[in-house]
Amino acid sequence: MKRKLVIINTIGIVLIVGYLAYLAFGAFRSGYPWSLVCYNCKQCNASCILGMDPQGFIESAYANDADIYMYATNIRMTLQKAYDIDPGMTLKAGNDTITAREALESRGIPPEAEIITYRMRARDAAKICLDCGACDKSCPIKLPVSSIIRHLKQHDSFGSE
Amino acid sequence: MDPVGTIALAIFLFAVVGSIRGWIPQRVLPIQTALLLAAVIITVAGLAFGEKIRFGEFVTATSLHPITATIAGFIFAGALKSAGGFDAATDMLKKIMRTPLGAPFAVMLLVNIPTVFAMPCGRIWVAPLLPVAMMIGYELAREKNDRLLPSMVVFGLIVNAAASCGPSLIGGIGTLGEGMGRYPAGSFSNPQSIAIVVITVAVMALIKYVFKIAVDPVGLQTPSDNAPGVPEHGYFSFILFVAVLAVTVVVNPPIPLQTILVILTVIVMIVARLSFNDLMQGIMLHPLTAMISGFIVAGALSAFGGFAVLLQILEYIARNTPLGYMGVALILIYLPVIFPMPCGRILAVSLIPAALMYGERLAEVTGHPELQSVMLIAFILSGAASCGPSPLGGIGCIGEGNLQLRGFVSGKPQALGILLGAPVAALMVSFMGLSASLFSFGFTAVSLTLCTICGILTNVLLGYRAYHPGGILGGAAIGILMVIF
Repeated sequence: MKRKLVIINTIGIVLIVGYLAYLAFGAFRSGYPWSLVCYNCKQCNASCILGMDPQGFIESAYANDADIYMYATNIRMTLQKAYDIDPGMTLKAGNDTITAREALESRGIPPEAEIITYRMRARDAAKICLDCGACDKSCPIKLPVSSIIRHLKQHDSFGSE
Repeated sequence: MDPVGTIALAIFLFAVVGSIRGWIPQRVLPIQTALLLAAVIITVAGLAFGEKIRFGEFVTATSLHPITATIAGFIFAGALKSAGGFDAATDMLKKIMRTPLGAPFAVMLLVNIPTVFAMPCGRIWVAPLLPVAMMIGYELAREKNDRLLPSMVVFGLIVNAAASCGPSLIGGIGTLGEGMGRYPAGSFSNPQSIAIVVITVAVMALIKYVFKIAVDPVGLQTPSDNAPGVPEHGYFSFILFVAVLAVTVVVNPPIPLQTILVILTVIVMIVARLSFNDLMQGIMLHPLTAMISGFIVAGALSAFGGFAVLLQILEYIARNTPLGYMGVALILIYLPVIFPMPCGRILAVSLIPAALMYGERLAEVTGHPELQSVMLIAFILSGAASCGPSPLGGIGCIGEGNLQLRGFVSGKPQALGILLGAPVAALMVSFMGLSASLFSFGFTAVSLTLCTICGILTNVLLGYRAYHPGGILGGAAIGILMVIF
């Protein structure tokens, strides 16, 4: 390998290792460093009666970003309400998934129509969560997932966002 | 179709296929840098089209669990190596090989251990067992004068370990499918475990009869009999490792495996009086950095709609070609093998919703509701095993490096082995349904029968007579262990 390529590739590897460090840093900044421990096994998903994927809250914690979209596949509300919460929220429309904005503006679905959500921001999902704690119980390593949800419910974002 | 997603997918495919085919020479851009560059180009293309960057979307595509499990596994492997744990394991297997059960029994046991005690990441087992597999492989090669045997044993172990994160009850990819599909916890485990034994034997057979991956004869010149004896704490370290992992699988304690491995490392360090430098012997940066770069490019793909475009293409093919939904469902099942990522979780998380959707359509079309679980389990097994043949820092790369083979040479036999084995799991679920109970007579009978047949095949593959008791008893033992654990 030529010297220039050695330098370029070394920078690349350093950036890759740096990315890993950034993830750890993000988890600490959000105040939930234990989010790095998650097995990503989705056992919590099966236990949520609202069809939420609670692992999405953990992802948003180590990304230190409450606007991460996560699955929430069993929540019903009017299209207008979904649009008011977040026009970028994804909804189920037959076999398709579309955003609330598309549903209202392009598809002409009436605002009072009841829709089923598909993906929504972690901060919005936290507000809808029933706080039943089923996700905590189903976690194989008993991570306190609901503590992130309660935090987002109260503060709408992570500490240093 | 979204132009940014299409461009992102095209760039990703070029980076992966280009690296595998040698269009992007490794001496110019190793796979890690090529993937990082692909992620940068995708991002620039997205920005040029006016898309907004959300760094969080990149980050969420990264599954930290396999990365930290790999690091913990490598560190423990370093401790085990310095404490003589590998020497002890090799010595134990050599003693087994000298019994009437011989090499087939030892090999059956060794290559299938990762699936018997399935961990959430196969790298946990590969790191410490690979040197043992190499030593046994070379020993057999010298005895049988067959340079294919080291590759057969090593890649048999590797594909088994790679796929073992599928049936793992402690946070494996199977649990991910059970969770997302809302199936009973643990119901995907037995069919996958049994199918993995078939995949393992298929890969060994493909290496022997089709791909003929021979190792350098230089490696055969140093008999291991000249090696020094087992160090004082070797047996303690290795037995402690196997015992703790076995107990972990049975008890399933609420402690992360990484923590367990770190505690084990500290115990071995204290007992064998090791320094931190000793631990560094086990660390291999290439698979780690390649895996992270794989996650980064997957993040870019996800953030800019590459996966969504991939699904749209599949939908188009299903509606407009004779393949239909059945054909596309098959393509979807094998997509993780066609585009093997360094960790099966990348595609599993992105595509399980699609697999569930196609499964539902198939169930509607055929009137067989069980088809959704059939499709999901085949997809998950294919995804879990795909980190074996992945050229992007998959487990196969570790074997290729250690055996000093040409890069990416183990990909095809592993991919074909998975292709043959995934239908075994699908057929079992189709005919026997799902069972989350601890003991199922049906699965026990199938496991015992199939694993014994695999043991007989192992006899033949290793150059012994088909009715050699080693392979038969080894297969039967594995068949029972698969169901118990």
